[in-house]
Amino acid sequence: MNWRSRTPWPVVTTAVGTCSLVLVVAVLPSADAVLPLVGRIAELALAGSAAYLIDDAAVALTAVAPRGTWRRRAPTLAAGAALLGVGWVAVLLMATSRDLLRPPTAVSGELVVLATVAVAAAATLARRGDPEPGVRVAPGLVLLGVSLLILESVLRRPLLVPWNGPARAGLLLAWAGVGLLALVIALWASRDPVGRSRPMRPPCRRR
Amino acid sequence: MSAGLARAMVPTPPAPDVSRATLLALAKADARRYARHPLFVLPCVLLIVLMIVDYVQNKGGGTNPMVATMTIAFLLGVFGFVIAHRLTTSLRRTRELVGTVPVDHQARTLSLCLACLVSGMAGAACAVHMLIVNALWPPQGIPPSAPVTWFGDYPAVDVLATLILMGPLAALGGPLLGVAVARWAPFRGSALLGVVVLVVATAIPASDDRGGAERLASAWPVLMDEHVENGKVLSTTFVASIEPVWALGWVLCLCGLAVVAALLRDPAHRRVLVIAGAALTLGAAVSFALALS
Repeated sequence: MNWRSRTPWPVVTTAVGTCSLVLVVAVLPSADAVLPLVGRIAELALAGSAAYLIDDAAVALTAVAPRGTWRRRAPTLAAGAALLGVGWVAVLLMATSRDLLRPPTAVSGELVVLATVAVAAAATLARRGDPEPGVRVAPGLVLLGVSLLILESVLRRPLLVPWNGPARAGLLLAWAGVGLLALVIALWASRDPVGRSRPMRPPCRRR
Repeated sequence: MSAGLARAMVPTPPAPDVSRATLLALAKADARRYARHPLFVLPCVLLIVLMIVDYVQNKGGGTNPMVATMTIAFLLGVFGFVIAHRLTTSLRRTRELVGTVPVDHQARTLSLCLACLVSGMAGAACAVHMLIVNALWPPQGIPPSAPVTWFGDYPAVDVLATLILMGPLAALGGPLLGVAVARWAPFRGSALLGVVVLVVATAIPASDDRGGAERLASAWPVLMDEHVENGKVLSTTFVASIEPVWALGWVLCLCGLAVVAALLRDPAHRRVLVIAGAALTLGAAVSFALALS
């Protein structure tokens, strides 16, 4: 069985780009004022880039292969998740080294939820026939995240998990709910059209 | 005759001379595509709702009459970056279809740049709304003697320059940058990286608390400061070290440079574009220096 994955180049460029950006900002004299925002943008970008993992430009050909959707996507998803993990750890190291991110667990959980949302949205678009939904979903997720940031400053109420203190239980519960919903949507949108769960058997040889 | 020889003997057709009428027709079609894009329609609906809320609540700018420019710049400028990037890269995705139109790629790029005026006009409409609302319910500091960044407390030229710079021009500049980025870096992921860099590059100079010259080193310079007490904005003042009129010139030149950069991707009219680019760079440098002097 061939488990080779395609290199998710957009995820690589996003991980390298955002980590470089955070690194550049971390060495600036005014880093303490900006680094939380830049770290947050990096989080959104990394989560958004997960949508590129669903892209399959040759879907017209690959979809007819006797292999389930998840079996086709799994190697790329695994490679992409590893890349995103490495990128996020780098961002966390830079943020925690300046004592800007106190509970990294909750924010990391938020990243996982946002990445699941991105994958769910991309899988839904892919199901509707878009071979490369990542180009639409990834920037959209960043725009949505920045909109939430602006909205929470207007409402004076945290909508995203705060970087500089513990989050309320209600907020964490809400994010967990969003993650669960996104997971269900991702699973629903990625089911095989004919409901096959096993690889098709080769046709019997005629004697 | 071999195919290779036949190809060698056929001269390469010169780039078609695009008439103004053709360009306008293309620009109108692209403007229609821009105006129908969900990432333009959604922010416009949101902005209209916010405008209606202003009228219903009889609310002007309060202590910070320029605060709405941030919404305009984000909803029309940053969203516009993504729209323009998407429309520009769509030319690559539908190459067979685009190839049937008898115009070169540069004309298509120029028509996309003209289509970005849709966003600029939406930004201008929002700026006009700000003028009306603040005329109906004039902004006031706390106490009333405290200054606010509006007519009466500051020269009209400075207020108008700041309003245009931070509103309509930001709404125009974002999409123009999107066209330039998409022409030079059309790879998957460039829109995402572009949005990240755009937001971060704007946020870093804007976070300069001292209100110094660093504020101008941004495509969206924040020219006012809020004076906050207990989380409440009491008054707003213009950044003393920056001249708004010249800052407007600086951002205008940046918009022009984005257009030139987008057009320079194709070999046609290179000489004219390089001269225009040099003139705009000089203009930007002079405006920057004068804005800080």
